[in-house]
Amino acid sequence: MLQVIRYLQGYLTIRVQGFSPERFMNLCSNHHLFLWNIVNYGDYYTMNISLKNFYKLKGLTRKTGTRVVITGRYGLPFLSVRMWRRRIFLAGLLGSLAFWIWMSGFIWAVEIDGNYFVTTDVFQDFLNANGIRTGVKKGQIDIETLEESIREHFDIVTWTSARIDGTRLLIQVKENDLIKMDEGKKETGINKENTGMDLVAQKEGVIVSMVTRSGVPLVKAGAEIQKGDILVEGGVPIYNDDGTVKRYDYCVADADIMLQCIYSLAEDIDEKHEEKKYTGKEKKQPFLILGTRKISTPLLGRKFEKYDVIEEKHQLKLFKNYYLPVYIGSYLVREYEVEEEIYTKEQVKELFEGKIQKFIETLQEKGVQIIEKNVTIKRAFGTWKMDADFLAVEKTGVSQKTRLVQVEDISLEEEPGAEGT
Amino acid sequence: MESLKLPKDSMLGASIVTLTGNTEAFIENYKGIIEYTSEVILLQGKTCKIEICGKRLNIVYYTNEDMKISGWIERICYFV
Repeated sequence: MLQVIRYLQGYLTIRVQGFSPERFMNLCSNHHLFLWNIVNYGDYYTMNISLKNFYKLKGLTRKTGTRVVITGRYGLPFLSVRMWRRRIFLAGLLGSLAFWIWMSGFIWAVEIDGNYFVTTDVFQDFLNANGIRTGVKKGQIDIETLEESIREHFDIVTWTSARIDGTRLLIQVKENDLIKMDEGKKETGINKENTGMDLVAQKEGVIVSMVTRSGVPLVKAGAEIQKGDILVEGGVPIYNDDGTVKRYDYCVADADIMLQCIYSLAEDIDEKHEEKKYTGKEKKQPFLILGTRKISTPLLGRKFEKYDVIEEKHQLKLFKNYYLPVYIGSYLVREYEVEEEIYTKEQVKELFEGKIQKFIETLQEKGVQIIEKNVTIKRAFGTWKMDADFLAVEKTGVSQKTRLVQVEDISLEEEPGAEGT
Repeated sequence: MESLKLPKDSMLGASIVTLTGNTEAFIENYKGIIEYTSEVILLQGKTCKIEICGKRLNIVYYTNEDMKISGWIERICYFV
């Protein structure tokens, strides 16, 4: 504690020489000038004295005839003096500090998370149009309005959260997964007002099962249908007493119709194919991106005839989230040679199986159930041909304006005439 | 004096020398230094002179009231 106070006040190491240094010390203590670390070196003494007390020594040295020489300066008051000597360094230090503080007032990275339907590019364009890009001042970004404008601009986005994390702008969005279903419903809603809607077959096949919710079914389970056949009519006939149709009550036909149908897939692969073979020769080309400028080292050595390039880059950041507009990375240039190879039967089988699997997956995504598959692979004139037939069950029926024409109500028209006579 | 229970040092003007082993001495009630070298420190007390002999003697601090000496103390003598 005492040392801390001494350091703050500043102290000196002095060398005392002369006729009677002991008398000098006695006078110091009588004048309440605190001395410490008094060491005798034969003909001279060194001791420490506080800076404040040092100025009071003048009279004492004259009285005792001693010579006092300062040999060391310590403490805070001298630090500033030392700093003045290193003012350029100090200015640089303060300058860099100020620079970092100034730089931290900008956004250096924009990250978008949670988008699926709206691609990141589209988001970037939207943000650019709204004046939000890397290098923009933090103060210029109004989080609230940004969130609101995202929600307004993209209908699919149901929830947004934007926050500034260090020098990074993080935008998290949630999209509405049910948007497509909603759109479908809207369509039927619009048409409801005008006329009835029929359900029409999209594909030919055999109906497996049928549950009608509204409308008049025209087909039954087990029936064979063609593409374009009307399955459910969007008008319920109201009959007169004599069995003739009085009028149609229009409705939107709605039914779950499961249709057994056939999907076929035909693919062919050339027996000969070119394959990339890496020679193992690689070159690394490091680069540095400063803002929009790219600095890279030149590629040395022989140029590759055929090669591909892999780019790898990292954005520099300070601490955890201080992102800088500096990227470092490298290109990896790999040489390859093209070799012609012939597929073996196993390889072909594997390739075709992959294709079938992909096809089945896309069908299943659409809600199509595969019951049976029949695959034939043949080789003819240097190509492998595959034909695959899938027996599948899927939901069918698309809405279409009904062809039913409203029966004109004769009785209603006749009535005014009858009154007139 | 005994019955009054007054401190002897202030009444008699006696110096107090406190030793810690033979490496540290703490001295109170003195007037000043007469001589100081690395082998001998001679102090003027109020009633007598105190001589501290040894090797590598240093004065850690020195004020009007007390002082502290460090070093290898070999002998303490009093001259009345």
